[in-house]
Amino acid sequence: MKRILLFGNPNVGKSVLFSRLTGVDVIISNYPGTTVEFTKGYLKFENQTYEVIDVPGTYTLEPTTKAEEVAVKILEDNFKNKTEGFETIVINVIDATNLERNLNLTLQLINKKLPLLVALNFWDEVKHRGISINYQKLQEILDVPVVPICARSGEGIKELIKKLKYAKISNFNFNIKQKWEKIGNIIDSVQQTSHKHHTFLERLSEISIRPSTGLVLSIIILFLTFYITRLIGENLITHIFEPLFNNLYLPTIKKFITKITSSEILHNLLLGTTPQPMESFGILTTGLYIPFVVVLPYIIAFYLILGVLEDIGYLPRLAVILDRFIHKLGIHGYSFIPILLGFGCKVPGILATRILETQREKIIATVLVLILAPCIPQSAMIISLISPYGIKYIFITFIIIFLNGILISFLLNKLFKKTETPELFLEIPPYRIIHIPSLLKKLYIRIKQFLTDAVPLIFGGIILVNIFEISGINNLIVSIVGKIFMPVLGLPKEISSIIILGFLRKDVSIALLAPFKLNIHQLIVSSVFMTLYMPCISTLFSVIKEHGMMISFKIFLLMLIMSFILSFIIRNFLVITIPLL
Amino acid sequence: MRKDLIQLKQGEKAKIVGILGKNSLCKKLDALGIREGIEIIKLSTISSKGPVIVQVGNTQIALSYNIAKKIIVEN
Repeated sequence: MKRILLFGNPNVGKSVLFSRLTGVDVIISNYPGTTVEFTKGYLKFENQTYEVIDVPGTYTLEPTTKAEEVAVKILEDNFKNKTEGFETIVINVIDATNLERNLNLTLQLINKKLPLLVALNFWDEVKHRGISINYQKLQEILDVPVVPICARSGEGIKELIKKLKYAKISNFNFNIKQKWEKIGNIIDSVQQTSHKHHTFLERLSEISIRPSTGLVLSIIILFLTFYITRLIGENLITHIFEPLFNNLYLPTIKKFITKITSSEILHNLLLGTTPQPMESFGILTTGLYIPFVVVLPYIIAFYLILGVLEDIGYLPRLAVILDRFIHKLGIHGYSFIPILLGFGCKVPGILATRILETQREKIIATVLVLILAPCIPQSAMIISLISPYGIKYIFITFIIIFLNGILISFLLNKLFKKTETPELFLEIPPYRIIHIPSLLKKLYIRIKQFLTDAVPLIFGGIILVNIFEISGINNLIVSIVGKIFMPVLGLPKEISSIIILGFLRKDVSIALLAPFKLNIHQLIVSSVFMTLYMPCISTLFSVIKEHGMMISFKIFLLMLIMSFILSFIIRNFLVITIPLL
Repeated sequence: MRKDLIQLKQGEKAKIVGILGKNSLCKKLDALGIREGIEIIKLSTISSKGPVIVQVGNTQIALSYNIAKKIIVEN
């Protein structure tokens, strides 16, 4: 089989080209021993199958980040330590509107003496920007095929595929130490620029990186992100996922299990003990309900919005605008993305901490994802439960949680003081119009990955809860929590089983507090405590997956202790400051 | 006059005359085209100690305050 490596700077439209070249059979995998991911797919042309690898974007072959290291390693794996039976060629994807910077990598690739082909992307934009490039001349100089393409519209893709067999090792010789001089010469002979007008997107870009307007814009976009995610997520649940589960799946599986077994233990294990899919703890009921009906709709909604923000090119701007706020917490602006995701649902937030470079950033970001705010469904429940007492109590509750989150991560940062805070250094790509098919493909890949990553974990969790229930450990925990902890927090001991249930699904367990006629002190304390004492089961296993047992255990212990102390403090504070009616 | 990127005013154009700092920083900057002898435009500063946004060729780049302080320019 032949293999194609798509190599290029970040933000040059590699992913759009990748989705143009490949079919639906696409796999994301981690590079062995790292958390850096790359995507693999297949292209069929003239009875030949090519494996296409979308290599992480890199500016140089002298790596400065983890992602760049992986890019270089993939190159080395394919050429130095040749994989058996594979014939590899490299397509160097270039942003034609940014020829000079991109040629830096091209010359380094040429210098490696490997079969190469250059794809000159954004060919349609070149004209608008007042640039003219003589690509035939560029081809002569570089001594490898150069194909102008526009990945978004599909122009030039066929030509590119036809030229695959002409990929060649260049005979262009130069001293790599003088690469910039050489690049200067090439630019002088192939490119001409004339005066260009500011486009609408460029003006928008200016607005989004100015301190004042940028901040306003980022607040609007963050608000819209939450709003739209919630809208899509809830509609998917109430109109599609819940009806499908309750009306189609549940009756069928119940009938089927009852038919094949009469054993009560097996019946309880598989279907649970109560008819409610949320509380029955059955492997085939709750075990599927949580990942597919509760979490998946939000994942779909989130990844869709995230994909839009990514593909437009807004995220780097957001990172820059917010850097000043979160740099003090020991992480740079980019860490805001997982935290942003975590506001909606913790699971994608935790999974997104993968993009961060250092262990320290990953841990601080994870803790922030977990404790800075409740997830959207839980927030909704807290709001509906507290709102009869007045809107100010809702604010008090959320501000307590938020300030606590800031304080804890600030302290955590002090703890890590020995290691350096990473410095922000990133390209701000121009805004681009979204290419819907590759947006959807990315969404599809991410959802597939969520399903293979998270579903087995949740499954395992349900089995564990079942074992706890059957062996009586559960009742023991409930009675210990009820007798010892609840009185200290001023809460009735009857709600301890509900608090334990919160481990499974936090919004439902908060809703279940409604019949207990708690006073406003108790409502605020229990909302804060249940938000912070433990992540929900799906999140818990995602954290373990990303960080391993030891670090996860420390994080959870920190949360448990912190939530208890905080709840105790606010309980006593509330008693003094807010008199009960 | 020589100054660092922090001192350069918004919208001003200048030539890079030196980069203080380790080789690894220079390599990182070089990969994105920031190097001695090149023209740079300061587009924006987010806050007094916040990131600085510059333009080099057709590329816009955000640099942390600490990195910006190490880039010496002349105009």
